[in-house]
Formats: sequence, C-alpha cells, structure tokens
Amino acid sequence: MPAGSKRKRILVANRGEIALRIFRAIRELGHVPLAIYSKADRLSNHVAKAAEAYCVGEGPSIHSYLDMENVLQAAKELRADAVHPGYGFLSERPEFAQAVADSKLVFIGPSAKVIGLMGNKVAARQTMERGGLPLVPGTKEGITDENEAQKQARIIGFPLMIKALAGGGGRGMRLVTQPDEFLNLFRRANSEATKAFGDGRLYLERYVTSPHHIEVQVVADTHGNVCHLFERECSVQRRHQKIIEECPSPFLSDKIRKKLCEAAVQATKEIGYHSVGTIEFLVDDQQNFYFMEMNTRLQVEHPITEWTTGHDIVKEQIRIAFGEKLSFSSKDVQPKGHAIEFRICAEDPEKFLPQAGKLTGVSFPSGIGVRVDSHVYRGYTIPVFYDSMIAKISVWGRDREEAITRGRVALQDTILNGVKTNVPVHLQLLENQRFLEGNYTTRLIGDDFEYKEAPVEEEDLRMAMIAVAVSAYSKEYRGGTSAEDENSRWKMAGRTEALR
Amino acid sequence: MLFYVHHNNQEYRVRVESRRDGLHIKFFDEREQPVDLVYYGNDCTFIHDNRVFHANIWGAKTDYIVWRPQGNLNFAVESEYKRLVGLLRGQDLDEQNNVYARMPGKIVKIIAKPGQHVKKGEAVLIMEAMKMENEIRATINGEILKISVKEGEAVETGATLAEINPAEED
Repeated sequence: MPAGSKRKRILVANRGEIALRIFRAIRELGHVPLAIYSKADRLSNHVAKAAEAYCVGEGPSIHSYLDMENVLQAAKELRADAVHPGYGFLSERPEFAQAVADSKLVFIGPSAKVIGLMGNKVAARQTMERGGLPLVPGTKEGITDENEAQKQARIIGFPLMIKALAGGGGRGMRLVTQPDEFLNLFRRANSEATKAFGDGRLYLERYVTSPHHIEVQVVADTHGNVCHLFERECSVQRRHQKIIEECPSPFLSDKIRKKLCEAAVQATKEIGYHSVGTIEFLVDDQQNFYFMEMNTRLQVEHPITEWTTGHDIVKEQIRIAFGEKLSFSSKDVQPKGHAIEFRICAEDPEKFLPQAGKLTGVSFPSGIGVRVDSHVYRGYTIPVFYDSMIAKISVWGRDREEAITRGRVALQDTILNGVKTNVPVHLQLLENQRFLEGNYTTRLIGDDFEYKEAPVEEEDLRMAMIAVAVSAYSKEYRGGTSAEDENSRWKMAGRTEALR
Repeated sequence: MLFYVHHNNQEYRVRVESRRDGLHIKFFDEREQPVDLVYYGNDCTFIHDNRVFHANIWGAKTDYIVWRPQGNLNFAVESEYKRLVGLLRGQDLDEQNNVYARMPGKIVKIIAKPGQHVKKGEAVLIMEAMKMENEIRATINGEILKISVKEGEAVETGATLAEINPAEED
C-alpha cells in the first residue's frame, strides 16, 4: 500500500449481485473496486462495474472463484490492498483469510483463527456455550448404558432425538415422542449404530418441534466495540435454504428479542470477533433460543437490516477492516418499520430445480421502499456453474402489513422472462395464512404451504394469445420486428473475442 | 393470416389481418375487430375496452413464453401458411395410424383404395387448402382400412381422412 495514500484498491473475490453490492460500498468510501471473473462470467454486470478486472479461470467455481492460488494471483496482478470475500466461495475458509494476511493484504472479515473456530461445528458449540449461549439441551458425550440414558432422557425431556455419535445418513437415529418408548428405541438405535459404524455410542438431544430460524446481525471493530443490529427471521426455507427473510421477526416478543440480541453481543465479545457476522439461533414455540452456528461473513439477507436500521453494513465492514472504529454505537441503532427480502431464483417453482438459460425479458420494480440487488439484465445468460439466485428484491414498510403489500406489488412489477423463476412462489407465499399471521416455522414450505400453478383467467389467456399471434404475424410478414431472439452485440463481441 | 395457437393441449384459432386502419383480430368465429396493440422490444401493451393488458413476450420459432407474475404461459404458434408448407413437404402428423386433416380444406383426389397396402410416406389422397394442392401421405406402413372422405368433400381441422391398420413388424 503506497504510504499516505487513502484510496485503497479493494479486490472483491466474488461474483454476481454481491460483488456489485460491495463495489458500491467501495466506491462510496472513495476506494477502487477490483473484480475477478471466470470465463463464464465475462458478460456479468459485476465485470462492467469494476475499475479493473482479472480472469481467474474456467467456468466451474473449482477452477476459478474457489481456486485460492488464482484469486491471490489476481490480487497481486491488480495490486490490491485488500480482499473482500463476499459470501460463499472462499469467504469462510480460514486458510484463505490466512493466505491473504500472509500476502500482507487486508482481509475484509474476521481473523483466520475465528473463522476456523466457528467453522468447526463441535468446537463452535463448545466455545459459544462458554460464551454464554444456550445450546439445544442434550448429552455432551456418547452413552451406551441404558440406565444412564434413561436418566439423561428424563432430564432433557420429550420429544427427543437419539443420534449416533459416529452417525450420518439417518442411521442410528430415532425420534422419541413418549417416555415409555425410549428404552426400546434406544436399544434399536444402539444395535443399528453398532452394525453401521462399529460404534454403538449414542447421544440425546431435545427435539425442537416448531423451529424458527432467527439470526442476529453483529458488528464489532478491532477496538473492542461490539454492537448488534437486531434480528432477522429466516424461517421461510425450501431445501434448507432461505427464500424469504424479514425483520423484525413477527414471532419474537420484545423481551426475548432483547435477551437474544444481548446474548449475541456477549458471545461476540467472548470470542474476540471483529468485522460483521451473524449468529444463527433455533427458537422453539416457547421462544427458548439455542445457538446453531455463526456465519463469519457478510450475509445474503443483510439488506433488510440496512432497511430497518439505516446503517450500511458493507461500508462498516470495510472501515473496520482498515482499523477504524465503529461509526455508531448501540444507542444509534433505532430500528424503524419492517423489511422483507425475496430471493429471486431461476428455478422451477414446483420442483425447485435450478434453471439455466437466457433472460429474454428483464424489468425490475422501483419506487418508495423498494430495493433490487441484481446483476442480470435483458439478454444475460444464466451460467450453469453457480447459484440460481439472480436477484434480491427487498421492501420496506412502516409496518409489516405495508411491507407485505409493497412486496406483492413489487413482485407483480417484476418481469423475468425466458427462464422459470420462483416469483410465483413468493406471490403465493404472500397469500399464505400462516405467513400472514407471522407465526410460521421452518416447516412452512411443505407442511403449511404447497405451490400450485395459478389458474389463468379466460380474459388474460385470450389477450395473451392475441399478443402471441400478432407477434408471430409480424415475424412472418415484417421480417421479425418484435419478440425476436435478437442477435445481441454481446454475442458478436464474444465471437470477435473467439477470433483473436 | 390464420394462426393456430396451442396452450395446454387445446388449439385456438386467431386470425390477424392488416387492414387500412391497422391490425384486425378475429378470435375463433367471433366478429373481426380492430385491435390497439403495440410492441416495443419484447414488451407489448394491448388496450381492449379501455382495459390494458401488458405482456413481455418471447418467441423462438413456434414456441412462445408470455411472462406473467403468477407464472409464465407457454404457447406453440403455427400459422396456416407454415402448417401448409409442412404438409407439402410431407412432414405428416405424428406417428399414428389415422391420417387426419391438419387444416380445413377440400379433398381433390383419392389415390389409395381400401385394402391396399401402403408404405410410410406414400400418398393416400390429395387435399386442397389455401388454393394449394397438397399430398396427404401415410404416416406408417400398413393396410388401408377405410377412406373416410369423398372427392370434393370439405373437411375441418382434425377430421379423419383415412384409417390404416399397421403392418406387423418383421
């Protein structure tokens, strides 16, 4: 880093919408945004918005965004002062954070040591328990003795899960709902585990029947200042992945919210964390909360917290990495209103299968309380190699009701043609009674919600058919002036590239 | 120009005509009406009885996707002309036993007789549609069971023209 220079060159070791999001923060701070891209991403908008860019390899992530050597080479070639890992890819690899630090560059995230610690589930739980966070009640060590097991089971309470210590794939696992079933199921699990793993040791854990996934955003600088930015409710999930997040959680009471957020701050202090991070909790229907894991990086759903608190989380993260103090303290965090984020994925709405292909029509919503984070545009081809998320639409309202209504209108105004997306799923979720009541759990999709293709109104179908016929007519008679799959300049540029 | 629009296994007929005062639409057998429909890029707006219909439409060859926030609509569109050209090239129907009319027309001549063995692609009869004569061919090898139409007869889309008993595979 040139001495006395305030303008930092920051490499974003990521792609897509999050690279664009981080670039904006970098530019607002007066720094220089640097990009990496794979050959499959040459036409991605994140390349267009960077000051300088470096190709890190072929399409598959393993040969590009996940290739540490290539990414470090990019940082060197582009003379970067700092590296922001975004989310996913190398963001939670302690060896990457270490390698960046070893190259005398600033890693925009926590220390490699903390990333490593939180990456190990068992170690993370033990550490966080010492830091004062409750864990799902259970035995800490393996048990084989039946009497001891029964004694422990009574302490934990029912329903509970019996799990094999050496386990995996559901073998040696039993759900026990009644005390009198326990002994029998324990014996079967023990025998199954012995046969499957050669290790009959079992552990017991309380089974959380109506789980909510609620997380707390924390921010900590290197001067010992730690602050939380309240919680996010992330229980709307499919295939264990979040698709809608909202804050504040409509389920938590103010009393528990305060307790939860304070516990998160306390734990963040205990582990000596700095940067932004998220502590994820499992919350049961009685509002008991248990530590699940800590994400030592920027979170996909950070925009909703930015909506309600007004603080730019990414800018704060960058400032902290350069040793600056937090720009605000707890008393400056006064959440206002309600925010909801919809993750728009290119996927089949019924089977949730990802779709790749060309976006032939793209138009995003706008207006008061509407934010769109996306890297796609009309004519953009979604590569097969990466995540299916193509946009995040987030909305803010003075209260939850206004946010929901605004979200509905924003989704109706969203045009994404050419591939299937989950926009119809979001629209239907916004009509779901459980969602509207705000007491939904992670089992919402599956138990209380099933996507059904909406019937088409006669009038709409008729209009659509007339429009389609006119389009076909102009194609046949006027040499194709409308609704054509146009041969874009981008494609021509690609061909020129290939001729070099 | 008549278009056959397919959606959810149903065929709809939409006629689009360019008149002096602009485009006219005739939906099925309804009265022909002028239509206020404009395209800009892939988007189009369509005003009917003051009601606005806005759509983003994408089409490649015969397949069309109309964006709708509640879920996209898929259509297969074929013009009368394209269908005819297809027939003239002998790209006949699906792999099925019966020979049927793919568009309205008039039977000009019957070539094959009941009881006759025909090979796939062999002419069965000649039909006139849109002032063009068009050889209707057998879609499979087999024996003509029945010729269901007479010379000079007018047929509608979907009418069975001939029935063929498939030949035993050797």
